[in-house]
Amino acid sequence: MTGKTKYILILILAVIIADASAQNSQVLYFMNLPQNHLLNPALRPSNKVYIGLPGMSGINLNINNNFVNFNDVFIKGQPKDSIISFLHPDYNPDKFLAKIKDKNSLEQETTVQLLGVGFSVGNDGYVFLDINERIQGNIVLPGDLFRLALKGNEGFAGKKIDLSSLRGDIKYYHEFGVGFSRNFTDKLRIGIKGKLLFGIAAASIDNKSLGITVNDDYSHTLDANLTVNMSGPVNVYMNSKHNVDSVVFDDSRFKTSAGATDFFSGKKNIGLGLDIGATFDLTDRIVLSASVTDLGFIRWKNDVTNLKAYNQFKFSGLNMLDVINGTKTIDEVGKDMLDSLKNAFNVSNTKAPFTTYLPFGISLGGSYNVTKRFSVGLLSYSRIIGKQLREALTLSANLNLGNAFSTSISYTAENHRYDNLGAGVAFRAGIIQFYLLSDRIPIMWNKIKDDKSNVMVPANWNTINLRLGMNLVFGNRIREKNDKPMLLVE
Amino acid sequence: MIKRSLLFILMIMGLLITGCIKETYNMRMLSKKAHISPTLAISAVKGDISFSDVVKPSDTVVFDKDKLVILVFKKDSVIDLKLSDFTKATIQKTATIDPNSYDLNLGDVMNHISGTVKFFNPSIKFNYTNSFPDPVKISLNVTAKGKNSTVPLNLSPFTLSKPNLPVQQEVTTTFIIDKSNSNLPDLISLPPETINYSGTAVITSTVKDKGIENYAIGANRLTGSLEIDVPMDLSLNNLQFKDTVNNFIKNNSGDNPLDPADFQLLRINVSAKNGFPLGATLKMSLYDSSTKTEKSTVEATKHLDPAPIDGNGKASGVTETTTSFEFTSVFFSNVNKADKIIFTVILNTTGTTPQEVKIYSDYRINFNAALVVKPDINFK
Repeated sequence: MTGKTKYILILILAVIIADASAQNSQVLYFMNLPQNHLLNPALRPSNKVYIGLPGMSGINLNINNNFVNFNDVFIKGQPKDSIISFLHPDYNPDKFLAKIKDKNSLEQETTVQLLGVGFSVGNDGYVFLDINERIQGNIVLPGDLFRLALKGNEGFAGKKIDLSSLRGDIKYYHEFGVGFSRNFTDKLRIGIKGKLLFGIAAASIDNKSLGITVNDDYSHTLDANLTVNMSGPVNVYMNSKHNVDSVVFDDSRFKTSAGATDFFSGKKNIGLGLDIGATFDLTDRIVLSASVTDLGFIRWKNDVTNLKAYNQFKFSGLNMLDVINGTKTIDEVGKDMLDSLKNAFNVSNTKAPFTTYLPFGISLGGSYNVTKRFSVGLLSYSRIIGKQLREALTLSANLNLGNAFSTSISYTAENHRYDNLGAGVAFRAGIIQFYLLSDRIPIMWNKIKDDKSNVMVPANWNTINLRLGMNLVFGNRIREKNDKPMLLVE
Repeated sequence: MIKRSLLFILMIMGLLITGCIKETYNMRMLSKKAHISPTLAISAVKGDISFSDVVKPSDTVVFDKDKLVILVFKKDSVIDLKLSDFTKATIQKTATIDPNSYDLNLGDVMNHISGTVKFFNPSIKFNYTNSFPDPVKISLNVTAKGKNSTVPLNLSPFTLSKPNLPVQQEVTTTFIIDKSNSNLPDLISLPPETINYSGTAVITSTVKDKGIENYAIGANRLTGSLEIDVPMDLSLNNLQFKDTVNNFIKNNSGDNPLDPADFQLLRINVSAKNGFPLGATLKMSLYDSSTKTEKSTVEATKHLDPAPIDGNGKASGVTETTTSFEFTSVFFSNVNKADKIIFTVILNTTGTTPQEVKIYSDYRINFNAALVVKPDINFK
């Protein structure tokens, strides 16, 4: 086995073994679009200038889940046209649980590019600026949670119901980014983008440990070290027993424009971010690239609530000794046990600022220019969310016809699926450039009928990715050589 | 090239828009039935309990210096004889102990008991005070009446101690009746509901010294009381206690939120470290008194094993047992067809043929009972 083959096999194996679920626009990477600097700031389009119009420049929608599809929830039953849910008595819940993984994640990311500007500087410099509205959310549900709900805890005897992977994080923030790229050598180009982040609202679960140990005698030990951090217009009220009494949405600030402006400015929750990338022309035909994107954090200081539960509690049944001794009634013993349970998990409510980190991505790419306009590419994208690594590997064929037209077809192994066929297209009409791309084209659809409507939904929900928008583009830094040869040999 | 590419893109776009219909789901045909049936298990009760935690020392239950448990039944004034109660005969004066009975108040218990119990070392202490100077001989006719039989004590007549006149005006002492001089173990092992007794006291006059003659004809008296001591030194052979109670599980009103039919399974898992040399089996039956039939019975999958014993009948360790009671859907379907529940407990002492064991107050049992339920939770 040659060295190259070995490394390729190792890379493919790593993708298969890793919890393959990344979230990106893999197709975008090798296309000739101004937005590809979002994935690697060293990349630049062929246009000299681009302007992304507010709200129209780019909308990116990603929804990923790694465990459930429509036909896992609703199953065709008997008679032929009947439908049953996975909770139907005739359905074996083990079939549903077979699809459940240890860590079941659901992620969404929506980015709306409010403004984008990019222009060439000098021979090889490129400056770009972006203002983005970003909403990122992800939740990880431990597999044991589903098993507990559907099968109960008896099967866990002698084991731990491990809920330590329970995680949730959602944040809404403004992103102001300014970047620059240029060639440092003939072959090496480096780009960097600094980002100032303004957090508007966030909620995150900081789960250091959460689990229930079910002993062989069915006594239970609950341990929790869990903090829910929130920044947003909500007030949490506690009762005298230090338990959450109510959570009330505070709408008073939105009654004045000043209050609403102050809230949506996000100026009290400041964060920083960084994208850095490079491309290297290995040969005339082979280009290697690498980038780290969304490296950053937001420090949340405004409207902060921290709800912390930290304790361990063992429930081993009502102790009958007191009842037999006659010192307590069984009702009193039961009440004591419930009081102990309540007190064991008193929740503390504090207002300490907290930090959330952006899920950052690492891209490693390589392209081979088969012809001047046609290339094939290989891209590895790793996304690190907390302690989890998501991996995607994309093979693509890319056609870039100068400024006028760019298209890419991709195959991506991600999110435990190996049938992700993606495509992207961008074309230019005058100064207007349209683009539309998806990492996974939903070829198979389910038609959902009811009394009023028919709805088409993708048969596979694992990955739904769509990026579309419109740019104003000017100029073309790659000129075709129209000079006629001085000597023409017949 | 551009044309081909555009054609390809249009094809992709076409797929995006129209795609292939994999399945059509007519949601009007969606069954609204939805349920979950998780098996939930939780430790319900536990205990590490000694005999003395359950039974406190009292006038009836006594722990001796070695912590042996002894049941004590006392009856005062079983005998009170004065000289006037005796006949006027010169040599032998006879008094009659009127027939009487001693109710041990075990009748209610005895109605629920069957099987064999044997007490090995019971005793009766006849505590008396006697001031008669002449020998008093007591003949007692004692019989014990159990549920199905009567057992005589077979006690030979015995002579009471007399005071040592003139220095001693009366003597207070105890005459012990036990297995050495009677059939007492068999009598106690009945076990008796009542003990009937009658008898005679005979004074045989002797030639008196002058100086003490007046004492013999003075205000002499014989009083006595009984104390029945039953040490828990016993053997049990399928001693069965059966009790019938009203069916408290039955849903009479229909407003009980916990309908037994909502359970596919209810199981009680019991694990015990038994330090008592007594094994037990528990059974619960749904009983329909109108048809006099047992509708369904639940019993332990394994009986609680007794602790091992040493050569003296004392427990020498603990025996670990894991058993369970499984209430199936069949049981629950019969709950509302029964008006009574019969509980049956069967006790045996250690050994394949029950051996003599002793019960001490520091014996312990450590147990844990867990509840396993499989409810049918229907959302529609």
